[in-house]
Amino acid sequence: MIGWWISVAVAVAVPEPELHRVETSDGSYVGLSHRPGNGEPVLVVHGISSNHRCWDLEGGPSLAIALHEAGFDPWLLDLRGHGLAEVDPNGVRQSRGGSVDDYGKYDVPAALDFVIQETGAERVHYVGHSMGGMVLAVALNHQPDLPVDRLAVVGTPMDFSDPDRSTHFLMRAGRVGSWFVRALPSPWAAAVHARFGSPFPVDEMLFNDIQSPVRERMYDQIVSPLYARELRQLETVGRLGAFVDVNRSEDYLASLEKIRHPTLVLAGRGDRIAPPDRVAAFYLRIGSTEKRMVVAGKSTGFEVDYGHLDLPLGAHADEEIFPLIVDWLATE
Amino acid sequence: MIERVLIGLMVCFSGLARGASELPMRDVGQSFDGAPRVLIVASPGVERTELLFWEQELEASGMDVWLMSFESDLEQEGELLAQIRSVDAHWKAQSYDILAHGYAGRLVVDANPDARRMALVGSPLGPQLTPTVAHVDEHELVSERLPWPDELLGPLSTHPYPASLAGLYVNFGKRPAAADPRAEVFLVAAGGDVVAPPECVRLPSQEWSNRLFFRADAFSHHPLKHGDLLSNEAVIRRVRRYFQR
Repeated sequence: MIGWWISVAVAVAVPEPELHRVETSDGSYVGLSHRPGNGEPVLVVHGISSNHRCWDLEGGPSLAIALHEAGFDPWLLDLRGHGLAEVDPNGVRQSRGGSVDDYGKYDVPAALDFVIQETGAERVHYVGHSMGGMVLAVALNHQPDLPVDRLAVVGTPMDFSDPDRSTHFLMRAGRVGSWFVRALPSPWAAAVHARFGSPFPVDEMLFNDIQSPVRERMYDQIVSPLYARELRQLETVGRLGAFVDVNRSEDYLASLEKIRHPTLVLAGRGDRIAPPDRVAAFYLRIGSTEKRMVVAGKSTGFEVDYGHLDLPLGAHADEEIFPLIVDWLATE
Repeated sequence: MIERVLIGLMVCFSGLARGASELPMRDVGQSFDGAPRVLIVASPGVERTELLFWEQELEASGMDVWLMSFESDLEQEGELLAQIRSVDAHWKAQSYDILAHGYAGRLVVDANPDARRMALVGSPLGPQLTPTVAHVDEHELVSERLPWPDELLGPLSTHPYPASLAGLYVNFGKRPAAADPRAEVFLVAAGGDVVAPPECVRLPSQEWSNRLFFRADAFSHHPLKHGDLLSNEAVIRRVRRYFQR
């Protein structure tokens, strides 16, 4: 009974998200889902083919709520073409999406400007999952003085050397497909897979610790289209074995040395998409003196071997992953 | 408790009985004159039967397979390295390749013998990035398993071995990266291997002059554990192909 009252009190205390659309300097729009809080602002960014629900699942784990309860002011970003930003304020579909470069050069700075303008804060903490960490590297490469404070990157691959043949084959296939369509219909495919399954080991590749009904909710809520421009850049990255821009003139891994912000790097022992050895480059190459790497798995004392989506959405993320992020951001 | 004391005494006394000159190395299966020679090095503590699949597969493809195990009284790292290095003198100018699994692979790299090529499967070459649960009781004389919970290792039979070596195994997870060996190297790692996850294999060897890397479970249904690597067909197929190049 007491537990029930506590859960009711928490539900009442966490405000419903406010939704915003913000124009970028190149004329696109990003979305922001804001759960207003009184503390320091945190910009939280999703990964590829996903959206802000990845960090705030309705009826599932929510870093947004964890941050709010810890006294932060969480702002969840939808990159152009994703979630709230699948359409612009006029309802026109942003069907071209963007490249990883676009997200870092235009979307992240626009979101940070808006948050600072709304809150009056001088700096904003940053949390990124998967590609959400890569766009941070792009953003800081182009604007080293971006007003970010403490950083947490979660399951973010940065080292693409020693490519795996199977992954490279898939990226190539994606690139070929990208010449025919602007975006792959991943939300539709995810909804079908959630209900009927598929011949491919999709669940096994993505997570180890998500069960029904959160699994179905996840496939329904967090999947956004996979854009041709993302695929083309990532195929180039895979082929060259280096995280470069579309013109191949910027080496984003090398540019990590310029970053001095305190950084937490989280990797999942069971992550098949961004395994710890690919994520570790963020930790090993970043110029920050205050940094920490955590590999979340049974071998390091966690309950499960975290897969790619277990980090934000796994059954134990509330108890094991979110506190790591919250504590890191709360450190003076 | 009594069993452990007896095992400890056996370990101690076996040292007295051991002849100093003979290398604990033997030709397994058939002897092929002139065939490519492959030396499989067993990790102290791991049952020899775990290597049977590799022995049979390599023999079946026409290689002359030898197996090196370590005397049970060797308790110091230096003694193990010296035994591996002594192969060069034993085989003089004869060319040979080495295949090793797990901790034996790290010992081979550190010993740096004059082998032509090395295939190292699930061998830790650099430090773990996050402290692990690997642990050995300092008061033990003998260890009966690798210093990890059994369920994390996968199928792997072990036998008693000196606890000092279990301590060495734990220490491998904290040491700096191994030095670039003279031999060409083929490295195999798997995401589910807690002993040598890819970050402890691929990253420490990135600057090595002559190495290939293969992630054994890049697209498998489930991550492969340390013990799985010994029975995985794709792994031995890739190793065989490497030695046949």
